[in-house]
Amino acid sequence: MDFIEARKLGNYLSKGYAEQIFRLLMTYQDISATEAASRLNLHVQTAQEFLETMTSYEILSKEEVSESKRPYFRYKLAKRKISLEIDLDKVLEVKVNTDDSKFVIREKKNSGAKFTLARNRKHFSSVSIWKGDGRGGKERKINLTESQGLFLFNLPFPDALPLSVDEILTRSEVDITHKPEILDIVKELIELSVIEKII
Amino acid sequence: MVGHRKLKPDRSIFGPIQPVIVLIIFGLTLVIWDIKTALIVLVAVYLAYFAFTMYAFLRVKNYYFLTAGFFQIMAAVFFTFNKIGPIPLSEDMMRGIVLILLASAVMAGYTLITKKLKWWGREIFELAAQDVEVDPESFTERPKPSGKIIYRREDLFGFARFYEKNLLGLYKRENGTIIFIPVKMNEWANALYNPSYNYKNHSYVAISFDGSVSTFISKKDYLNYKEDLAFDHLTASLTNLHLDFFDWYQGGKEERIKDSIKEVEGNIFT
Repeated sequence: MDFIEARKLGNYLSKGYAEQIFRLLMTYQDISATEAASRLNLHVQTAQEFLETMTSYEILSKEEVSESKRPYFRYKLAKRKISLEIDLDKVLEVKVNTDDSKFVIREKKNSGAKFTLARNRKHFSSVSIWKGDGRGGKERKINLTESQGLFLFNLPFPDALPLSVDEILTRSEVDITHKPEILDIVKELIELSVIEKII
Repeated sequence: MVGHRKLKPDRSIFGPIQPVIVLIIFGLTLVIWDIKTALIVLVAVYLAYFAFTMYAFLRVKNYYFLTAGFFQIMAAVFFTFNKIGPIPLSEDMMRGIVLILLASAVMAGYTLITKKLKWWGREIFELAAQDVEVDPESFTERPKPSGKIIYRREDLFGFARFYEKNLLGLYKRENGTIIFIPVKMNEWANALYNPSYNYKNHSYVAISFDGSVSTFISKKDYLNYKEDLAFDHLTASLTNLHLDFFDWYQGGKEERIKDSIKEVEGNIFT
């Protein structure tokens, strides 16, 4: 299950009537959307939507029946345990693409960013960017990890020769295992016009 | 030889304005009250100057502050004990006091003329900018790391004391780092006496006990240059200047530090 699916399922499970519908499903052999809606004083469409969604996640199963009228579905529990499982390794696979390091970077001229030194004076603890003008302006403050702070401390000045991420990593003595988080902050600061990317 | 000056002209009047302030205070009290009250106020002013001078001496250990302090205390003594002052003394006693006052004035005058109590921060910034080209919009409010150096810790402490004693600036020890803050003539009183003076808003060169060096140039100091200089180069130059000074100090060549600074001396009042 990915985050989109989990968000959808979580959204339905968080409905106020979700527990009552499942209680009905535990009590009845099977139940139709009309029966559930009338029992819980819900709109039929609401109950139908909920039951269909749970069916799509294979929590319920449905069977089409027709009793001298138009065919309709009866729903029953397919499993008695509901789990919401996200495999972060699969879903959020961190890709350190070698292409990500092929560009060179330096601080952008007039970035207006304010870097705050950590107490030991060897790395930055945060970077603040002012967005907008005058009173309407808003400060965006990003707290940095120690390796990110070290990396940015060694970022070339706006008029200095730009360097690659790997060169700055070496210069700042940041372990290569921190590269994903470094690339993350570099990408963010490029978007915020604090870092200039030169290909 | 020093090229054309990169800093804006120094229009500071902090030095010459001090005797004028004393005169104004004296004149006002004389007009409002009488000569005796005016002399008492004058004595109070000189005693206040003396206290500030002694504080400066105790802080930076520059013995020339003692000549200034000696003159200030003798001026206070003279205005207290002369025949129209609050406690008149005999003519003979006064003659002795005047003699000592004149001697102290000569010593203070020598100190003033030979610039023994001049703060050299402005000259440090001028020297740092000598070979730096113009590059607009290159300023950033970020310190620049400048690698690591190897040194003996006692040498760093010694250099820090030398830095203060020779009025190149002040130093501050913080979290395993010695921070050198060049102090200009127009800001020495603020740097020395203002309890809320925060060096982080001023330019500095920091040398850590592990040898790492970083340099910060404040916006105010950067804008004090006539043109937008290449900031990376300027910061590196200020670092190198301090590291050269440190090298010379370690090699017992302190005179070279003074000589290089004196090449770019400012106006006669500063």
